[in-house]
Amino acid sequence: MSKTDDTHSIWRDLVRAYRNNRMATAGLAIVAILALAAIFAPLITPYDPYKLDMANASAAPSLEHPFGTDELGRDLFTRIVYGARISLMIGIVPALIAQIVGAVVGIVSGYYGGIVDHILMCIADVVLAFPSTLLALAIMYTLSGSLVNLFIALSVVGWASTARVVRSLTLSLKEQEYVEAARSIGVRDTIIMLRHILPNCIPTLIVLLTLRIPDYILQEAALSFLGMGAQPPTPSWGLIATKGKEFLFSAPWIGITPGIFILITVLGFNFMGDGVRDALDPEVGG
Amino acid sequence: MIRYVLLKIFSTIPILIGVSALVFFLMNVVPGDPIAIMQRDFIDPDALERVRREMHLDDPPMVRYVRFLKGMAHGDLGYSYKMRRPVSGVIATAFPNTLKLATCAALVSWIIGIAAGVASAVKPGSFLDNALMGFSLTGISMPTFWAALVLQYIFGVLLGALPVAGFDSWKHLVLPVAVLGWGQSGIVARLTRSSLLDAMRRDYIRTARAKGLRERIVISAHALKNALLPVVTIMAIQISSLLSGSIVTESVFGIPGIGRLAIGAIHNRDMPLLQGTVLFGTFLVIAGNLIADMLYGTLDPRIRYVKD
Amino acid sequence: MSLLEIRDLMITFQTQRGLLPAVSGIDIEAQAGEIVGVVGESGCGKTVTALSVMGLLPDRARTSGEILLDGTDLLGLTPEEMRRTRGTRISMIFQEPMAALNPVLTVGRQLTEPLVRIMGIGESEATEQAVRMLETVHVSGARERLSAYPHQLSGGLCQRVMIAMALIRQPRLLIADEPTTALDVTIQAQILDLLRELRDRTGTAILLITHDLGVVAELCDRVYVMYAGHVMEQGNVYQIFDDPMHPYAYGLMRSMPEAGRANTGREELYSIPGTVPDLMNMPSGCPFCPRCAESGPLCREILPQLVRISKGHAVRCWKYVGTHRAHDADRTEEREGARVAR
Repeated sequence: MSKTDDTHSIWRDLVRAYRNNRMATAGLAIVAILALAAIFAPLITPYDPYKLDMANASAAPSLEHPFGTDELGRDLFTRIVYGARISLMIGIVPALIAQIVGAVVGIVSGYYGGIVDHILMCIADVVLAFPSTLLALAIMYTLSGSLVNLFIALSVVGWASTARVVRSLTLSLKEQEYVEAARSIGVRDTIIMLRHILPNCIPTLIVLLTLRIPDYILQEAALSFLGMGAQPPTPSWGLIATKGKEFLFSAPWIGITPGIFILITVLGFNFMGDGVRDALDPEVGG
Repeated sequence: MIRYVLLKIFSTIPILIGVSALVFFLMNVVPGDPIAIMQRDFIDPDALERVRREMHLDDPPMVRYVRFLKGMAHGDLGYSYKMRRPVSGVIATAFPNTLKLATCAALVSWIIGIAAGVASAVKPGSFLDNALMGFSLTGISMPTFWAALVLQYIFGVLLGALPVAGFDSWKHLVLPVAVLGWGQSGIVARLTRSSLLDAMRRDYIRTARAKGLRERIVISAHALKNALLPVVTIMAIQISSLLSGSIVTESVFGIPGIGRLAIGAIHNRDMPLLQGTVLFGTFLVIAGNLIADMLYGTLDPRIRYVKD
Repeated sequence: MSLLEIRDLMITFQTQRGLLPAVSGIDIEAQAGEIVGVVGESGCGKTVTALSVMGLLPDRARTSGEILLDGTDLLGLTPEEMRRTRGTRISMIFQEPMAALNPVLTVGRQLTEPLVRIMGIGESEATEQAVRMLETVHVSGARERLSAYPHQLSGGLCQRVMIAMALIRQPRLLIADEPTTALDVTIQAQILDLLRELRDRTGTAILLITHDLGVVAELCDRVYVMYAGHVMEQGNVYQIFDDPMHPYAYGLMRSMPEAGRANTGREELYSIPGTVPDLMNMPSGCPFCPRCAESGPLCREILPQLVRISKGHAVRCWKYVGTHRAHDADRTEEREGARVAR
């Protein structure tokens, strides 16, 4: 009873600290608006993101096409709105996978120690030794470019740093009295890990998640730009901007607009990440 | 100290083996027969035959991997069939360009980043702090290639002041360094700020003030000296990752460096070259981590003396 | 004229929940060469008082009243003038000597720094002074210690270095904030001896901030007992220890383990019931009232003035206001009796 009360008040404090942070609230608002736009895309725009209209190719922004059209006459606003689905998904799905895999590996590694720990951490160190874009590229080379493969590549790149952090957390949690007590009365290891260790790792995992999502959105943009991410005609922001590079002189809006959206989205997530981190550790950040 | 360094170097050996294994199997085993892949878009039968011989493709993977390791130990990274030269030679030609870009970008980002971080931390919550941190966060949040496009558009197309591609004069360096420097300085600035704010809360700062020292000296001689320890570590890691090739920046600006090499190898399905550049980049990161570790050990007396 | 004279000092903090009164109008004096103790539980305002004398309160603190040092009001000084005062006329040592020294600078550097950076003394002369100062605080092998880093020294040695650092420019007043709390018992005694010896030798006044009555009894000439931002009782060390008058003061005395008394293991140490009041929601009358066994209706309403009992001895309690003492004491007994009867 008292334990749940404590947990509740901790979360309440967190929410209050987060709400008091203007930038964090702004970040949440940006992300919420984008998420709504992504979900209700067909209601927001009358156009089809894939339908070509060569007669209207590379049209400048107008009332009809607020962001203009791309080189194949597709409405840019529509492609941006549908692109939000991809960007949010590419940010959130592999980041979640990486967090879950990292948490499991980290807890198991820290809890059992010994040879299991050695092997798992050696693998993590190997992954961490790669420059992340290079590793993602190498994996995409092997798997060939597509959205699903991009999920896989980013998950593979990301889990290791989470595992490292969670492992060191687990090592200190393992020494806590309530864990020792649970062990001494013969509670099963899986139960201890799930009930006692995992919940204490959640705040850290959330911070890492909110910082990883914007990183992945940028990675997707970079990989798509390099031709190793989403493939045409997917309306990925990175891909649209890449195509826009060729029309930088004649139709600059094609390249500029999606970049602005990536920037705003990533800023939104970064504001949220900073807000969550400061709420959890009010000392930092002044 | 020497023992510590040797120990650290020794401890990277399993990682080196793991890295080479991962790269090797990623490149050689998973995609099936590399010759089949090459034949899709590569038709020079002489080179193909040479690759087949070089790679001993009929041997089992483990045998090939051991041979690959042996070659690597002698600095032999294989043969690029697109460039028709040894991979190590190709990398040696490209590396000076990356080195030039990385060094300039790192210097710019360190100077701007540390200065901005200190200015921010001295008056947290001030207009200057908010402006500098907004600038830093924007730098971190921008897609690199897009920032490059915008700068190319403004300075190349609108103003016509700077070249947008190539690598012939110092002018060619300005835009790529600006793009890389902005993002990297954001990381340094944010870390410097939080680290300095943390240091300013410590008891020894109160002591320094109690001595009647000027605030400028309290910050520079007492707080900064502690606050820069983690920043220096990040800086070592940063330069090594810049040296392993800024793939996006190099390809936007057409700079013939390591990053361009890697992406070119992918598009040409030049597996040995890709393998070589990935390994090279990874070695640089490992070396960077090692240097960061040792720097920290040298700069922080608490660690320095424990090791002796 | 007293060396230090704090008059009606009030300190409030601006917090997210509103204004927090940390110190509510206190008067404290210290003569040259005197060791004055300020004692109380954590949160009573004693450290905040010390920091206000040093001019080291955070920006969100608001101060009013006067802090006179040799007749100059420190609260009226500009930040630059206050900076020049620190280290030369007042110095301070802190609770955690290890944390109070900069981990990345050598002891010698930290000792000579004010001499070189502020007074413009040459490095070699400053080094000589640092060595002499370390010898004064009985650090053995003083010259070799100069190149050591704080983590290579014990806590006691660190505190000696701190003391040397604080006294190197011969200040008139040394503020010691819990100088022995973080140290082992044997080291505590050595540091207290050192402080007394330095006072005897240099005539520096010491304002000792502590929660430890044992330290006060050992070292102080006069004592102020603080509770929730108020001085509850003041007097010389004999008056306070032999004849504590405020219920809080004798509660403190009873909670102190007596040295030399055989510990039977049965007797539990007395502790004052209740907890320190929340400074944000202070009771309107005497702040100790909710924890006081002898409180009456008046205590809840109005905070009493300090009442002079004898020369130098004063107490802030309704028990001693107006009518003579015995009467109040009778009433107390009646109340106690009634409680037992029920």
